[in-house]
Amino acid sequence: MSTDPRLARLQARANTPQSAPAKSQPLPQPQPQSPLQSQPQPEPEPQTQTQPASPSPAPVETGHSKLTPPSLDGNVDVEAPVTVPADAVAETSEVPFKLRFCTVCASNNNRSMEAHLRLSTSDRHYPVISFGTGSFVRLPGPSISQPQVYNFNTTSYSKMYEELNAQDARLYRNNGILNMLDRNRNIKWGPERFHDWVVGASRMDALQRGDKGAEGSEGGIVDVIFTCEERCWDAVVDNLLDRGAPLNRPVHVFNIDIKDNHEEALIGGGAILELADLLNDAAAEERKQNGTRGWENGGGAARESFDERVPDILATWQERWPSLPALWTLSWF
Amino acid sequence: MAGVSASAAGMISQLDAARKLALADPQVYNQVLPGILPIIGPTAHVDVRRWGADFLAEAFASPSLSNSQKEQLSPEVTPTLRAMLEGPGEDPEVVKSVVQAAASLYPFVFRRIISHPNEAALWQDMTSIKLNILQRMDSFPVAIRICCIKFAQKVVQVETPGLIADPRRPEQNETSIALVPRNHPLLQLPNLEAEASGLLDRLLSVFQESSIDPILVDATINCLAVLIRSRPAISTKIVSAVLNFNPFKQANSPMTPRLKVIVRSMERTTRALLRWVLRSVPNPPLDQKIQAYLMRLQQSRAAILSDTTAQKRPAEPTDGLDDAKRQRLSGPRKFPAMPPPPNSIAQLFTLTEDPAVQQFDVSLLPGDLVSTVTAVFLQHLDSGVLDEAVNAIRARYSHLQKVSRPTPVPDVPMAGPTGIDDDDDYDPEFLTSGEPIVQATTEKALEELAQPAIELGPFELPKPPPLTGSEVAVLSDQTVGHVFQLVGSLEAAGQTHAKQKLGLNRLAASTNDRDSWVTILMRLATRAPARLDDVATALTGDADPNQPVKSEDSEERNVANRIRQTLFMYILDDFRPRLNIAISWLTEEWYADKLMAKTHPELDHLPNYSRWVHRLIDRLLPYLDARDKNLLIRFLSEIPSINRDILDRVKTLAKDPERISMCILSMQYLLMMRPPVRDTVLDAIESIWHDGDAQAKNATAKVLAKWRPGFLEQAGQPKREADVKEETTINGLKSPSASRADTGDPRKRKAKVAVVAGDG
Repeated sequence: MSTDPRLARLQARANTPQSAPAKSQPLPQPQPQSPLQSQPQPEPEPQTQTQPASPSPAPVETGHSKLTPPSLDGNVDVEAPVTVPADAVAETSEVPFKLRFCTVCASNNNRSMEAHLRLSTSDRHYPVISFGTGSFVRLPGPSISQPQVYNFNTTSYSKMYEELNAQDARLYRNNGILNMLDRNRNIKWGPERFHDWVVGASRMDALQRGDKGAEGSEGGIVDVIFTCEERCWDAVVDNLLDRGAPLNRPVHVFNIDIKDNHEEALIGGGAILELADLLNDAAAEERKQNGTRGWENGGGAARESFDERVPDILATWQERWPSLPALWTLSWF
Repeated sequence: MAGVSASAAGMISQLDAARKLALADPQVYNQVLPGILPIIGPTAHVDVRRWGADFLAEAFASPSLSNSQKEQLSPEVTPTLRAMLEGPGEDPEVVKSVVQAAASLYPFVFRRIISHPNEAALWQDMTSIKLNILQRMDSFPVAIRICCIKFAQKVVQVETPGLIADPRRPEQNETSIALVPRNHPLLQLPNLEAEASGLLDRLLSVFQESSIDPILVDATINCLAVLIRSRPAISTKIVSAVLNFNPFKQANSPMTPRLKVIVRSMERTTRALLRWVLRSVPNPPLDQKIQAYLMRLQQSRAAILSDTTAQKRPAEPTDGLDDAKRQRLSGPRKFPAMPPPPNSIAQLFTLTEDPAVQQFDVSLLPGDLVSTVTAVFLQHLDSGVLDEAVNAIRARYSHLQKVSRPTPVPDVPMAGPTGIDDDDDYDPEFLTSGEPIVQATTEKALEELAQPAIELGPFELPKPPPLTGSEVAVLSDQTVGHVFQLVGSLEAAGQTHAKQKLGLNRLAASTNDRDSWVTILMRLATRAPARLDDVATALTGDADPNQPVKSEDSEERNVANRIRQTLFMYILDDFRPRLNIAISWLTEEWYADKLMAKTHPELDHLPNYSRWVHRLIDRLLPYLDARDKNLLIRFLSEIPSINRDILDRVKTLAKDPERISMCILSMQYLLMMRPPVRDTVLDAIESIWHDGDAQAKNATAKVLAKWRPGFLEQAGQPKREADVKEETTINGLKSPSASRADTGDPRKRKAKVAVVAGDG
């Protein structure tokens, strides 16, 4: 950790809301060597689906459930016939429904990764993937006119970390870049460009690497995209138009305007998580109602669906976060 | 129920494992899909059906699974989908996924039917699915309805003639009725075309409905892009429908937060599509309409949303005016530079970089509309923004007036291509196919930069004309004068400070005070030119130290002497406080002369020291009064060398009755404290005794009686007795006869005195 007290504070803030995930952070590390044990993360408690967003789970709880899996897992494991372990899928009729999220900013380093971390390590462990819309990954360099430029998709966070650490450890520690990259390399392998994302292509490699949020997003499709800047939203919506919507899968595209600095990214990450929780609650509620009642008496058209409620949810959320102007549309993959 | 749930959970975990295998290897779909179809049928648990429908939707959307594979799998899957869809009271989640899967599946089934006209059952299933979806479309929950919209879009896409990219390779062509043979038994072209046309109308009707549901609008707008691009026959119709849509239709009611979200969403989505059309599907007549529409949209937005956006983000007041880029929050607004001259008046007034707006010809609009729009616009315009713009134009104009040559320097340097902010590579206009525009902008900027403004060769200042002697003299005087001004300005500080005595550890001129600068001057004068011209001068011009001091004019006017002269005058200005400077200076002179004497042994005298000490005493003595005796004593005792010439000058004080005592006292001091010059001093006193009047004789007699006991007897002075007596009483010397005998040899005398004193 940096000796800079501000960065120390940032680090502390970045980790405190999810002390449990922070504890389990080292776990994904050994996984690349053992791809068969690729889903060690336990499902959150089933009742969390109806709970309001509470970003501070007891740290012991997660660790405990990791050691002694809930009994639900028992009969699952017995019946699992295939080599791929299915212990992660602790699904019952009460299975916690989870929306799949995608976070997007310019360089896939600060804001999108902070949101990625928050969403993937919240108590619901949302499936998350993240992207950047820039042409290159640009990080602040020694001066405003000398940024550090990297390629998307082919450069890992670790490599950036090593390079910058070797170049000028003091500078990059003081401006928070090393701290950020260190966080990022514990989340996923490297920055990805939105425009190069093949929607629907499987992301099993990310799952096997143990990237945070890979669980559940292995299908390569998400339900919700969060961009962190209007131009990113424009770029995403425009790119989706350009792709021609071949997959026929709807996606909600939100923009939450977050300034590109560490402090604002932290705040914005929390706000995104809150919105995600609201959306997820609504979707899970809809599924639950449909699952219990709709089974017998047909799909009641009178019931408001999750998608329909999105404007209300966003309006409510916007009232609470007036400093983060939001934008939304429904687009297609 | 619990048992069912458990088994469902178990089943789903198995299914998930299978799904992951398929995700890892698309070939697995071929085995997995047929295997799971019976499991996920209408009788299965709702969770399993949800999973199954979602899996089908995922599989047929997956880019990993090849089109031919999907086509092959379609006959097996279609009946299952139909059964799920037609199941009574089916779960909406399932239906939603089924509709998605059907949308993906439809082109594959269609394609298969084109090549397999005999598979009537398959086509029957697909047609049932299609009819079912389209019939129930309006009664479905919104979540399913948006998927139905997408399904309808897909049907329209398939049933509208597409482009035949390569007739020889039908497998490369996009699926559409363009591939259907005229005599196909199942696919009747007129029916299909009519259906597509009707469906399209139904799709576009969402823009005319009175009660607007934003999610339906967004879903429709966002799926139209591919139709506009790949179906030229209907693209104009679609764009026109969108242009007739007013996202602000609902905005007349009070703006609730929800309404704000909705209006903003529809407006931005509409704009995104139209801007995409402008860029991706250029169509000049339509483009102008689109641009006019976008302008109107902006104005409406400024009018309706400006206050709300201002509340949300007061730092971004131009939010409603600039649709392309997020404005920088800090600093004044920057306007792009004009293109290089010659400029048109339009260019002069063009402050935007948006090519779409630049190309827009206002004259196309009817005059009354323009005036209305302008009036409304001015009402809502931030006056600060307008002022800025006017000032920018004004600056441009004055710049144009000034520039006489066609060598423009870009007023605004290119925004750093490497800026962290990443603004450079963001421009939704250019993201994908805006290459020509990018080039235009870049080339323009490059031209501006590359324009050779002025040919600048290596420039050399002409050599200055050689200075004449008098100029050198004036300049050196000025220089020295400057330094003395500095010394003068520092004087007060130098004196008021109680300076720490550092003794031998001190460094000369290490502080910025008077002493330091004086020291520097002294050393510049004494040491810098040492061994150069001084030697020559000393050897030739000023060889005789006893010679009276030469006049200043005869002296060589080099820098050293200028400094000396100035220093000299400086000391004389106020000699009492500056006597220590004189002493230091003379000490430096003496030291420098001594050093020179080492290398030039032939210089047995001290040229500079002698000259300046004589000159100083000459000028000093007239001003000394009786109270300055301590001054004189100090001066004579501290200057590094005393010779007969100096004493000869001091001696003249004895002629003044008021100052004779001062003279004698200083000499007495020398006698006591500077033994090496004792004889010289005594000689000087003797001469005073000889030349002086009675008072002088009286004053010197005492000294002589003490220090040269035999002298007075030899001279036969009447006051001898008294002198001796007094001397005896004072000094306790009791051997006048012995000392008298030794007068010839000064050394012996001295020794004798010492011995006597030691005895006493």
